[in-house]
Amino acid sequence: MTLKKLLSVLLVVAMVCIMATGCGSSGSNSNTSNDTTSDAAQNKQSNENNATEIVVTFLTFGQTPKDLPLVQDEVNKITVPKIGVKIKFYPIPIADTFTKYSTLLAGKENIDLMITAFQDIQPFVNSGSLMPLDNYISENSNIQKFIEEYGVTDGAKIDGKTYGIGPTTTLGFQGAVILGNDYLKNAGLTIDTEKEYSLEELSSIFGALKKANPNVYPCGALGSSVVNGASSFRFFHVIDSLGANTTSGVLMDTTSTKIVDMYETEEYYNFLKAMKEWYKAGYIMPDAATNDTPADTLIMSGVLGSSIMNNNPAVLASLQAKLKGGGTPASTTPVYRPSVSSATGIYSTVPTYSKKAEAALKFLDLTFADDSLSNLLQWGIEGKHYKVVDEANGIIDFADGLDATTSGYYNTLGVWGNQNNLLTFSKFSTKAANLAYIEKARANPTKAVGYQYNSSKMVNQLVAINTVLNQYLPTLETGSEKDLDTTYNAFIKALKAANIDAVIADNQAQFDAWLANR
Amino acid sequence: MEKTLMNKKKKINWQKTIPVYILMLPALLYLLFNNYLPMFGIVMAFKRINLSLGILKSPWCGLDNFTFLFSSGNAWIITRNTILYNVAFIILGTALGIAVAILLNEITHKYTSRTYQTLMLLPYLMSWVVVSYIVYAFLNSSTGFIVKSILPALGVEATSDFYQDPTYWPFILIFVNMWKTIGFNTILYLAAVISISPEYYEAAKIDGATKWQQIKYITLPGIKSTAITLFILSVGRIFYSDFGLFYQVPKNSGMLYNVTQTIDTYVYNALMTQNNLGMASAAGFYQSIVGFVLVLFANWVIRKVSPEDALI
Repeated sequence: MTLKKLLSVLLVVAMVCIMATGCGSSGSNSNTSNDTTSDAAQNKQSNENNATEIVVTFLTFGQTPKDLPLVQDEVNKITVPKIGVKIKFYPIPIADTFTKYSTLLAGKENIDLMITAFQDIQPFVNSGSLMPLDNYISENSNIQKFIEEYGVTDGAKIDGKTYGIGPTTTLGFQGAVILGNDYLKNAGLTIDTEKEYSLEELSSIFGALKKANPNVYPCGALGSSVVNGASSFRFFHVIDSLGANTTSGVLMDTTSTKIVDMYETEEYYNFLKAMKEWYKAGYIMPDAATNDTPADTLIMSGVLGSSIMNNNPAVLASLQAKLKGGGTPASTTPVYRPSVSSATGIYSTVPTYSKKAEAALKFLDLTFADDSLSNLLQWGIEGKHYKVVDEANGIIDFADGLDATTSGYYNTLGVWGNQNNLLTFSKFSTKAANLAYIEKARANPTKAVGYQYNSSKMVNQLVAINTVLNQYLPTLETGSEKDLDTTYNAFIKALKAANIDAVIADNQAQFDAWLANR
Repeated sequence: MEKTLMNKKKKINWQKTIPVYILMLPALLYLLFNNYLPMFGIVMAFKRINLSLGILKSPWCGLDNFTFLFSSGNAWIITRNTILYNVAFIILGTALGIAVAILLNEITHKYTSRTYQTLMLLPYLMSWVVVSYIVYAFLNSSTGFIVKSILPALGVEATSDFYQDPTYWPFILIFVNMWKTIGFNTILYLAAVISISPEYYEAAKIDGATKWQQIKYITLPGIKSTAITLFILSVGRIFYSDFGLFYQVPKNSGMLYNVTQTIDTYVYNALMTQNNLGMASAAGFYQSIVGFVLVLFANWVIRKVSPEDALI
């Protein structure tokens, strides 16, 4: 009898043990030691074994491209012989990166190169999650060259240390309303792309467009695109937000060194007044403030007639396929170079716990030097995913029989290497077009190029200010409030209560010190 | 008393009980790992988290992480909204739940009763995102059912954009929440109503009691303990709000924040871009402490009023 009891006890204990191990890591390295017969294969095997494998996040738009493993193999064919680094992609949808990176970092997920996009990396730095990269960037590396020419680390420097490296961009910024060509044709309008349009001129353009295309809302203002302090005023006025966002004060022209609260200025109020007029006149969607359909969908389905954007070659090229009949920009500002040139806000970073920072940086360095690698990462395999149609300008098209929906590798974000040298699908973003834009931007810099605000002392205030902006901006910047003056006054009062003045003073003090040191 | 003394005197037969305890072990371990171990994370609320140092070695920062809850002047509004809405939900939810349960119990035709019950439960099974679009279909300013069909039929001229006008939202939110949760509340109370022995009612009928008197003197006292238990549980959650209801249904419209923002949506909106573990733990800690105090308080009040129904 007792034996039986003992057995049952043992059985239960065993079951518990099994359960416990079930929860544990089953991540024992599945070393693929395939039996190889030929010498060549064996050589390759040993080469691969010597290569350092790094895990690199691969940002997607939601769906992992189905040919990603093929591209990964091709990438490794370049990187293993050249730098002895083997890449393993970690696909993650870009929308998830905003919420998941902090938990991935806290859980020490096996990632060696983490790419952030449209996300402030300062909180990660504050929490000690990211490694300073300065020791890994050597004097004569390609990265160093691009830091000097294109400031690829601007915006990722905190307390004098570099935490991220971005792809090269076109440096500049130009506010514009990019209007659909078909709608312009219906209204008999032509846009002078060299001219800068004022709010009044835009009003009359919208008026003519609305008359000729009564079912289209000519002004593409949307509440969903002004979240998290990303005010759309930057598309109507020169705004240098100093490597942070508008919550911490801005410079409002290229000669000024005085940081101001943009929201309190007369220019901003006039902009809101114009928005209100446009809303009343039916140029803006009635539920623009709360509609959460993605802007691209509304533009492609012909609900919105324009996109309010940074008019740089890449954006213009991407909008050609979305707006009906392509798009023409009505600029509102000159091309200028703001403090932080990585306007895209994309950075490759290395988690503190990674043991392979050196290999990760080697790989990054190669993406800047080797155009065949960056083209491969961006567009896939030549002949399989794309074909070159215009060798001289570097224009490509989908490989035969493929389009955006059937290609196994498309819609990837421009997060790698020297973006200005890439092949392109559109004549609007060729190498020549990019360089022309960069020329313009370099000729018109703000006073703060190279400066970045360090907000670590103002975290509480910024949280409060951000909440105020989230509350008011989507309504105010689509003109959907009931009464402009009441709402605007409440908005300014709330900003004051959230202590925006203290943040701006802190920013100005840092900026003055930076100016004096230069 | 006598009984407990007798139990104490009894020698526990370990040989017999150990296997039972071992059977309980997996569940106990689960409780420990899932509910007690994470409590250690409370320390994060008082630290300036630096992951390169680890949670335990990160520097202490006192109550710094809590200040964002109170620094914007919104603290009063979000606390008021959270508590008042929950009070409304508790009172109306209990009253409607009991009323509908009693009415359902009076329906003698079995299939009719079941049909009503199922139909009422249906919204409870829907996700808040779906509900938010149903509400949107009613309230949309250009194509909504209310603006396009109902108001013109009543002869009311209306151009109101519901998502910009906070006036109606306290009513809309309470209505939507009641519509969604009433089926579930009803089931809880119906179970209690059904368990009352029919003999009481028979006796009452013989004594000539009216339907109203039967409800007042038999049904309501019969489900008192259930109601009180559910009440204490919901008071414990008075500082939490249904995120889906307050975020999805008003479509996070800024103009409605004064009447729709609760602690949960405020924390979400404030920390979305911050990735600050310390502040998030601080908000969670604040909610659970207040919730814990309120549970004890509610229980204390009930012990004064009706000691046999108190939980502890």
